[in-house]
Amino acid sequence: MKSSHQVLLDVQLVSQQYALPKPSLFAKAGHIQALKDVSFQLTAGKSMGIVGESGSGKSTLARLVMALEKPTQGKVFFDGKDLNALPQDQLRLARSDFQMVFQDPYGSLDPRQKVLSIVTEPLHSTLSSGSGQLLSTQDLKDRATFALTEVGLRASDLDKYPHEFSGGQRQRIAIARALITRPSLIVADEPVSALDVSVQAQVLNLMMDLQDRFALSYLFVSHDLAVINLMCDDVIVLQHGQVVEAGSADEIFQRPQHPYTQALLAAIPGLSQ
Amino acid sequence: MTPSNTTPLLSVRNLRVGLQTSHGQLEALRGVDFEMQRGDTLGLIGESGCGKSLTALAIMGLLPERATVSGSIALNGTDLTQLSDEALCTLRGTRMAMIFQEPMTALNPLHPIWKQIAEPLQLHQGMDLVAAKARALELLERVQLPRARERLDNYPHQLSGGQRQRVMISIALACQPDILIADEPTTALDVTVQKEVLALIRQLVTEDGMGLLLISHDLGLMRDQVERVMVMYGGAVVESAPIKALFGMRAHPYTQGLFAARPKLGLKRGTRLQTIAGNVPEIFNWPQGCAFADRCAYVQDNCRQTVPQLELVPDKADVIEDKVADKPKRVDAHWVRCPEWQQLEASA
Repeated sequence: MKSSHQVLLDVQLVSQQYALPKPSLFAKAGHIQALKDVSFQLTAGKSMGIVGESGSGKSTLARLVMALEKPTQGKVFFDGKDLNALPQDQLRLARSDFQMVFQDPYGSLDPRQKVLSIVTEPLHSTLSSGSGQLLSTQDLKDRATFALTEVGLRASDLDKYPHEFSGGQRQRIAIARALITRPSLIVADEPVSALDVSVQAQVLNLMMDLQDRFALSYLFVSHDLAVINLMCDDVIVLQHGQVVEAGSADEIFQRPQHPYTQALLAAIPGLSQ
Repeated sequence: MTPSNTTPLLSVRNLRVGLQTSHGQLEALRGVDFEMQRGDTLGLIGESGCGKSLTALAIMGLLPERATVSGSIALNGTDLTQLSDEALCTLRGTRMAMIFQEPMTALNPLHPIWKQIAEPLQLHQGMDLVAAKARALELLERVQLPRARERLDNYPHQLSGGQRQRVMISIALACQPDILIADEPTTALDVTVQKEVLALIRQLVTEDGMGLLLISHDLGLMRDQVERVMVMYGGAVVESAPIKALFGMRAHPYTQGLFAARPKLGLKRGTRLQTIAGNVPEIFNWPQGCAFADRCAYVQDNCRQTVPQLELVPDKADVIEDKVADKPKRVDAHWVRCPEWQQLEASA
């Protein structure tokens, strides 16, 4: 657990460019600027929301924070370490401290693996490689059982396959998989947008409970402003890969300054009355 | 039956649909009733698997093979369930049209968009290619596609999501249908684009005096778009009310749960949301009686045995006299399929 007021995640002026396919053999390849000079800091135990429309760079930013891609420019410091400067094996170890939950609980769980191997997979890559210590089968099972009960599932679910679960339960499995390494940060990319309203509320409550219990930080990507408002202390608003507004959630949702943020808020259906 | 002033545009009576599943033939719609007139806007709301889309597909005659239908679906007095495929095909596209959720999969990637708009015009109205292309341009201009003339020859992949949905709308409107069914038309779109597309649908529906059947899981969206809404759960309509009445008072425990579970802007950070216990049951696990029985806090023994009857919720101001029939107009009333609603209201 990190002490409070400590900067857990420090994103410094990151930019990301992707090359476009060449229009013809001799033409120069174009680029897409997915992110431009994005900076923010996330304090341990707090949550940061990333808001924007599709193509604004939300998911690219999430991938950079997860060190799944290297930024073209800028640096990502996690717990004081420059993720892009770490050698591969150390990065692998460091990964146990930041985990990810994806949008689609149908696509993010391997249909051919049992819940036990799905949930314990992060342990294999982060524990066994570096220190050489392998967890015994019983240890793995105990940890998986603990993680499953934390998210409101049962130990007997370990022997089942993903198709035996509903969407909400699958997302709980995905959260258990993220929790099992006891991370300080969970990056959640639209974690509830594929779920029904009644189930969405259960998963959001669960994520808030877990945050209180384990002093987790969330980097929460969503297009749903009401969800961000509920889950996050601070918010950054992205448009065309650039931060157009940043601040505390209360400030941004009550007194949006940038026209784009205002437009986003005005477009929420059902608020006209 | 002859169409007259009193014949509703669309009348659905005790619609039941059975589907072939890996668990055998199961009833996925368990008696849906409603009526629409021209110019009416009706919303169907509910969670996945509750039968919203199935209702739409049944009306359009697009149910999967081996589905069984009972009850009646009358469009201008003609029972669609009794029509041959051929006869139904001439109605589809001309008298009723549908917009789907994902415009990329609903459009054909191999044809330029003007051809796809021209297809129903050639098929149903016998237009030649030149006339159909000219009409396609008019339609694209009507749905406010920017630079419509240049875009006639574009393929779907060259357009954005919102633009594709505009093309879908222009196809649906090509033959000026009486009823437009929109199944989650903006779920795949960004909020600002969603706002524009919904405004467009509303404008076109008003201009043409069509009936609009809008399917969505988004309560806020319904509030802006429709006059009346039906809440579906487990293949049945559990509550049906004018949208204003529903936002004023929810009678069914499921509707209450649905409203309470929705995160609202302005909630204090970390506020726990009210939840509905359990999960939406799979179709093969639907209880015999009320589909919500297993998740309901107010459940009675009877609820598990038999499907509750619809009960009228007397809304103070909303009993509007129908001038023609000289009786309270049924479609303006607030109905709930729960015997416990009065106790619920008292405890609230």
